[in-house]
Amino acid sequence: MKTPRFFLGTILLFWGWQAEILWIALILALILESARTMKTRFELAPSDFNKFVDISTVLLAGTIVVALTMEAQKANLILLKFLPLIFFPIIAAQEFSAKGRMDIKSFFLVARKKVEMRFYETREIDVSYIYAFFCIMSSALANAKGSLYFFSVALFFVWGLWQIRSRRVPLVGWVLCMLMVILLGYEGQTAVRAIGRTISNRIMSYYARYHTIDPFKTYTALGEIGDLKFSDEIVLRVSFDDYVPGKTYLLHSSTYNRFSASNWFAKSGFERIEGKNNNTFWQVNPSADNPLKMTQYFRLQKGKAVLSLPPGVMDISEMKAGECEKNAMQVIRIEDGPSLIKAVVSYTGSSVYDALPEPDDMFIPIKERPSLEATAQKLGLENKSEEEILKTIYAFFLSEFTYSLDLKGKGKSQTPLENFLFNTKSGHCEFFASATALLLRQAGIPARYATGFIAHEYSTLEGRLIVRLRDAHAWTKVFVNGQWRNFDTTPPSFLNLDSEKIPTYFLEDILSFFGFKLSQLRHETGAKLMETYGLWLTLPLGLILFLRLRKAGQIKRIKDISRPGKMKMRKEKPTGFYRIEEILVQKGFPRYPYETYATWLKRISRHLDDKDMMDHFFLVLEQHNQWRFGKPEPLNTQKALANNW
Amino acid sequence: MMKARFLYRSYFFFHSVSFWLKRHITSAGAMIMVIFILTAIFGLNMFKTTLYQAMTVSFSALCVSAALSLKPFRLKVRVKHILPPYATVGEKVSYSVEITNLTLKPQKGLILYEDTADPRPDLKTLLTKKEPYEHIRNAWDRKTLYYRWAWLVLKAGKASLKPIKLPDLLPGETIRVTSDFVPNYRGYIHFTGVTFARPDILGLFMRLFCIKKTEKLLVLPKRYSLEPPDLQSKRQYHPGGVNLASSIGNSDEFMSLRYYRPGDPMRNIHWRTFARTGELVIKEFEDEFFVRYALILDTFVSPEREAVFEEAVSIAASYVASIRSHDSILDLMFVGHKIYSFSSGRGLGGSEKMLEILSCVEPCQDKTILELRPALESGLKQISGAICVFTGWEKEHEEITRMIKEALVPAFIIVLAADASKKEDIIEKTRRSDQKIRVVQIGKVLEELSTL
Repeated sequence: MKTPRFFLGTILLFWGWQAEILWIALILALILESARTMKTRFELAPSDFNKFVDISTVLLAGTIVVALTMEAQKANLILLKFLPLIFFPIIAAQEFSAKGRMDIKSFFLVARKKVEMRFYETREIDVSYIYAFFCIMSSALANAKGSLYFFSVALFFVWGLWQIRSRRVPLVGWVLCMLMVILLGYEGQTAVRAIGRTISNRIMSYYARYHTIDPFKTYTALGEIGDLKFSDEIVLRVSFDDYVPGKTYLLHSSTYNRFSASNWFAKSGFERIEGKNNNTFWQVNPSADNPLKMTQYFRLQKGKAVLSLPPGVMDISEMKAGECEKNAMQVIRIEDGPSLIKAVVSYTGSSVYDALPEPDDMFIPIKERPSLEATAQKLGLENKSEEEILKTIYAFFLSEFTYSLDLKGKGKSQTPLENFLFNTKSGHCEFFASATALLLRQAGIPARYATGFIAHEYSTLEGRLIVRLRDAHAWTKVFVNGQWRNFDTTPPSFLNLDSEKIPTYFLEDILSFFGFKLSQLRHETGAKLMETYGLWLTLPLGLILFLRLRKAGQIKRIKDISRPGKMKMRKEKPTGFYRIEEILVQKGFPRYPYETYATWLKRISRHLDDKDMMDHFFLVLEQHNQWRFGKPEPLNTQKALANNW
Repeated sequence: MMKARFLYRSYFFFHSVSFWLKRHITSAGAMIMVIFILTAIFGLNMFKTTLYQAMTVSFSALCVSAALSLKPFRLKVRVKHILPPYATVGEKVSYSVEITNLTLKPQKGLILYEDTADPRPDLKTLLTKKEPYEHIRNAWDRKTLYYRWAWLVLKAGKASLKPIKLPDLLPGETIRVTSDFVPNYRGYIHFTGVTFARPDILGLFMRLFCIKKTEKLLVLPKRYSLEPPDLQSKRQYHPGGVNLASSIGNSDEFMSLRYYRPGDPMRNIHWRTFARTGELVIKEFEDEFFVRYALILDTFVSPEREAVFEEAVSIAASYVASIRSHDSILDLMFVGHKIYSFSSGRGLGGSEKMLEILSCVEPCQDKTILELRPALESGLKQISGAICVFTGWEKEHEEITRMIKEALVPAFIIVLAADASKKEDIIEKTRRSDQKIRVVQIGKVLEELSTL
């Protein structure tokens, strides 16, 4: 069934408006609607339709490649957005074809090849409603707020269903039914949205509770970093301007300030950072003089990542992301973007931008207090200056504690931390950092717990520092002299111990580097090439189009007399007798191909008892013949006679 | 066998489901259902797209329409089919249906579906028959038997009949609607009734009302306008004339009288002599001489040569239709489950009967054309000329040709070839034969046989 007039045009304009490519949509709409006005049609054979389907397939493949190269994460969305444009050749071919329908076989390459094996009949379909649906689907991607999309879709439904409405019931009945459809639909979409939100919240809370690698988590449990240490997977590739062999860097990811039941929590809210230069430049903090530079490459996890950055980040450039947010503790997280992200970071090297201490930065859980008080007393922290306290604590952990990746739990002590301080005196970075932070708080110095990575391994293969999962680290942020600074009490030998415990494999590293280089080629070089030379890609596409259409040069252009339009030739105008024939055929008196009008009328006169009417028919036929084969004047008389009947 | 039974049951079930859906859901309803499914899949991420809103609109349209279609639908109409006497494969057939509304209520927007006999084959047919292109299909297609099933269903259905949109049916009014279709396969189309469908207000779902009515239409094989071959044949002596001819017995030419012998027909008793002498004396008539042709059809083809067989049947049907039946007799001989031999002409039954037989002839795979030898041996003496339509050229065909030649019967032999290369091969093979043989490529019958 054909779409009503202006239906496709309007739906295309709606798509153009929503997808913000109105001028393209306008051109497409004008082309399609002109098909209904123009009398010119093309005689397209099934093989010609195949060519138009091929053009759309090439466009589809091209769009997929471009979308994957530009923004892999959003490739499906980009593809959906341009569906009406991609499939335009097919709908245009159908609309301008004499047949007005397409052989279903054209859409299946296998079916086309198996033409000699066909014993079934040709099935032709009208793709205009399918195309209209593609437009509706693409428009939905604009994600318009409010009810605009809903009511537009409802309008198109009403418009489409209008022509198939039942004539059994009065119009009012149909209108009432449609109103019911819209009302139910509206209530339904409200309910679906509410259900969707509930489900989404449930899933999020499930992930927050059980999924340990969610980068947006607002708490961490002791032992989580210890788990990460058992993997040698490369997660970050960094290069620093001021790198000298042997230098290590703490790359900060998250900061937590409230400790409770072996968990660190952060309750700081995130604020959006406005992206510049097409969402590639992010001004995180005000600029300062003499910034240091660092470049890093990393991958997104489920489209999200918390950045691991040196202290005092001012801005991040060359980072393509959909969203970028930061909190008061300088935790920066991003959402959406290519699978491999490059970030060039300008930083000061000191935590000048961290929020000033809060009551939480001094909080010690009641359970931990006895052990911490005892330790503080033992170290005599009470009457010491801030610098002295730091030195004492550092020396205390260095001399009396050893590094170990084995978790001992709480043993016979009340808490794992107490067990660490008094019994085992051995643990990994999380225990050192937690104990340090709480000891500092006990001594009256605000402290926070920070997690991230330590970059220390220089890869000669890659020519930059590589950071593995096992380099995950926790340390303390301490507020001294009116400024936050990093304070790491984990014995420095831990890096060697980690390396010994978790060996790396050269082959794995080579494979990882190869994968990285491929991604870099795709996202960095490829995207750049696409931006610079993307338009040139249209050249081979255009060439293919030209070649296909040149082959299609044999397509015949014909005039479709059944279509409305101005006609100069009077003989093409349907006469009164044609109308009589039409009615009689409808009444079940078909004229066989071998019959002349006269023999046909004679034959059917046996079934029609009305002699006067038959005489009338013969009179009109006489007039018709005179008009058809003689002078055209009697047309009016003939029409009058036909009308009388 | 287990697998085949499972496949058969699945196809059987899905055919029923698809038939039910086609009858209960309009194309617009199917489109909205597809929209609903696609929007439900792609609109899952409600935070990225608003497609779920289109899903709810389509779903509510389906719900409202389904609810509206629950209203019962009863009709009181009289239906009369006006079918043509015959249809021909590949040619458009027009037929009319007369419907009278017997109620006082007008009926609007009805759709008429023709019901035909269930085209689904039984398991045995599915396992034994082979579709024409099976030998070139891939292993998966051959294993799943889907194409075989589809082919058998289409073949049994003969043609796909379009639904007819009926004009408004006023109380007591009779309307006549005309529709057409193109039969794809020969044989009988069995009409089992009609189904009236009434779409709901929105036009997405339909309620049905069925009327049982059995009728059948014969689809004849495709025929070419071929001139009968000039076999330069002569009239042959046929002792006793043609049995079962319209004037029973021998010709009307009186020859002599003789004494009655048991078994002589009563009507030939010369009653006057019996009255005078009391002896039973019988009138003897001249035996008949007339032209009798044999049309030998080769039905021994493998499934992949179905097209060749259909062409052979078409050629045979063309000759049956072209040979004038009032001055000659035509014997059609072929082998099916057994040897068949039918005669037509000179009052023995019209060519229509023979065309009907040809419409229903099926290829035979478990026998050879040599099965016809006994029938030919006895029949060749009476035959003035033979037209042989062979689907290939093998030793058996040579043997039959030799037999005809030895009986001094002029023959017109046509051998069909599937394509140009096969035609060359057959021409090469038949070069040795003494008989003149025409090798005809399928699809080019008219041009190749007309130029003879």
